[in-house]
Amino acid sequence: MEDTLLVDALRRGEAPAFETLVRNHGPRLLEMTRRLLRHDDDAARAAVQDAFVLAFDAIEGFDGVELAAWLHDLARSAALLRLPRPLAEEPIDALLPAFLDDGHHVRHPHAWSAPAEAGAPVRDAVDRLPDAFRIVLLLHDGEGLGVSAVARALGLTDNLVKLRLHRARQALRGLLEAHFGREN
Amino acid sequence: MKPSLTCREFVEFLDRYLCRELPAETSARFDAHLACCPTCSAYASTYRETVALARRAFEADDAPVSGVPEELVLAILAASRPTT
Ligand SMILES: [Zn+2]
Repeated sequence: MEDTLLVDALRRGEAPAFETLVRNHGPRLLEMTRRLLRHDDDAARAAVQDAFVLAFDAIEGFDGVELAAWLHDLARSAALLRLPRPLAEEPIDALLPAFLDDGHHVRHPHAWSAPAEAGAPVRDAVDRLPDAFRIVLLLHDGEGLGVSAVARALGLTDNLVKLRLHRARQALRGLLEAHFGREN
Repeated sequence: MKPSLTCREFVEFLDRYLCRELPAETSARFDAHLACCPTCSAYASTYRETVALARRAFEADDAPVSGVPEELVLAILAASRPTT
């Protein structure tokens, strides 16, 4: 069923349309909430349920343009609400580049490159970052939100988002160097 | 002539440099450092590779998608059954 027909059926309160919506859009939403909630499956499922319940209540007001994007936004917000707060911010200094007093690098970074199918090890490495950095990186680079949108979603300033994004990428770079550098 | 950048400064502001957020004069100093410092050059290229890998790893087509457990489908429908 096309989304426009589906939305019409939802607005008429037709029960089969509700089930179709959940079966069509649920898998991607669950994948995304699992990613944000670091595979806490109960919280990820609860966030998806929150999103659908909200969507069913709000379907009257839905503008009918992008059903998948609308559901995705609802589920993402629901997942962020279920993150343990405050976001874990344990130090990641060990993963950041180190410098001598004169400002030079302590050591030369290994040159490395990732194989074409690097998705799984990269996702695993992201999962190892503390939440305060992991979530900013996921929202910006994974979800494609801009800095200001990430800041609004997390209640942070734009500058703090930029700093955490930079730190998250530096730390991820360190983890990927350890992973891919060893294989070369 | 301002003193040249240290590697620490180059790496600290690398994100702003790559996003072209730095003033032209500052950006030119970054260009100059990049051209003569193999360590920062290696750092910058692997940093960019990292950003690209992170984006690719979470593109919809790359991330695995499994189904929704049946009990979750039922729970959602039970929680939001049309009242009419
Ligand atoms: Zn340097």
